[in-house]
Amino acid sequence: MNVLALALLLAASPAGAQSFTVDPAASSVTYHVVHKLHRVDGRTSTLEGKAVLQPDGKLLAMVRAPVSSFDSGDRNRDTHMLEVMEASRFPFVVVKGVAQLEGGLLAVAQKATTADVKLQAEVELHGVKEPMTIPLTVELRPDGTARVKGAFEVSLERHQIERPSLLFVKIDDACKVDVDLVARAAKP
Amino acid sequence: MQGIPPMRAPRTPLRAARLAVLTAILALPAVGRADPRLLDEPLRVTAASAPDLSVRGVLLAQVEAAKPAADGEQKPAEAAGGDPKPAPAAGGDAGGMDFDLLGEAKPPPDAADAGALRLRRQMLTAHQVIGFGLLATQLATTIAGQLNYSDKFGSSPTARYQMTHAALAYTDLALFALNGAIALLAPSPVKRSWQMDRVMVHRIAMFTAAAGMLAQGVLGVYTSQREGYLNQEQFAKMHLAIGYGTLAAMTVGVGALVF
Repeated sequence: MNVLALALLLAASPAGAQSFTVDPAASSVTYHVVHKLHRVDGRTSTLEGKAVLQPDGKLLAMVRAPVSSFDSGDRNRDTHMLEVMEASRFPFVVVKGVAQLEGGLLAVAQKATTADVKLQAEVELHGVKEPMTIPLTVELRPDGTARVKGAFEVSLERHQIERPSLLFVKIDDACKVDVDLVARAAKP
Repeated sequence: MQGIPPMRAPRTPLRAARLAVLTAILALPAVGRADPRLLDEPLRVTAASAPDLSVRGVLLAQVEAAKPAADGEQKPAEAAGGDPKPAPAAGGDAGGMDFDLLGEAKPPPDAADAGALRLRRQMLTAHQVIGFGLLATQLATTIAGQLNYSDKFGSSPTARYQMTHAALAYTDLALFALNGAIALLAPSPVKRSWQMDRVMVHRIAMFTAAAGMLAQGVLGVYTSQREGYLNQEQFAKMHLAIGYGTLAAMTVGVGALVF
């Protein structure tokens, strides 16, 4: 009876900060760069990600991926990418941000639908941090997980990345990034 | 005629007491209505009483936790003397970006040497430039070879393309050897698993072109030594055909990386 009472007490205890962990196997981050002759997509699932939801509805999120883990389907290009990204000096791409969920996701949780969240983020690429707003769609799924999808664009030159070239023509400055993450609530 | 009076439930004190007890039972919280258990059944936390760890469940818990505050009441955490602030993991300035949820990152195991990467890039840039020159030279050599063949085995041979073809062929061979050596000697600081990608197509095509180039060299010299023999034209035709094949392989090899 004591065990049952304790469990009930825990279930009814006030919610503190809750954390969510990204499931790398079900998640991916993909970059897209464009050259006059072709388009390149590089994808990784080697991700670390965590989010903390505070009692006041403030969400802190952070995702990190090793630069060397991106696969564009061309080993030569991927190796070149490591060079322009100076992967030995700056081995990770890091995105972290803050969002206020009051009236947003918290309200949506009661309806079990999707919500649009604007993450005030900081993207660290090639050792250069750039602030930006990342629009995200959060879907609360029946299996108890949350799927977070979003896209944003980074400027290679703003991050001081030397744009690779082919036939003496550089790739476009804009690099689009697609985010598709699955998060699970961490055990308290 | 007098009607039958409607039946009414007698409001006895006993019935009123029964209703009061029933209402009290229904009003009891869930804990008061635990499912009956067998005495020999192990006691365990039921799914209904376990914390809901789904994302939605956690969010709903947040909503519930926020409600009393919205009503102007004290939050349960505060009432219990608990700390409503975020977990230490969130640390730092919650309003800004001065937080680290993931901790110190371990360096990736395949961190490449920057110097080797730079050298590789320089060598492969040179390989790319020479490669385009090589493709142009191969095209010119094939055209000159076709003209030389048509002239030599035509009605009135003049040999006016012979030197041009030979010069282009030796240049082509030298460029091919140089470019192949640059590609093979370029450092590969990142070990990646073999897969069928554009680089693999490029390599297969260029190894095919290398075989063609080698055959071209041998056959070209042999054909020129067959001067006066009846089968010289047959060898020349074979040399020409291999030339077209080499050009095709080289075009595929370059195209695989460019397009």
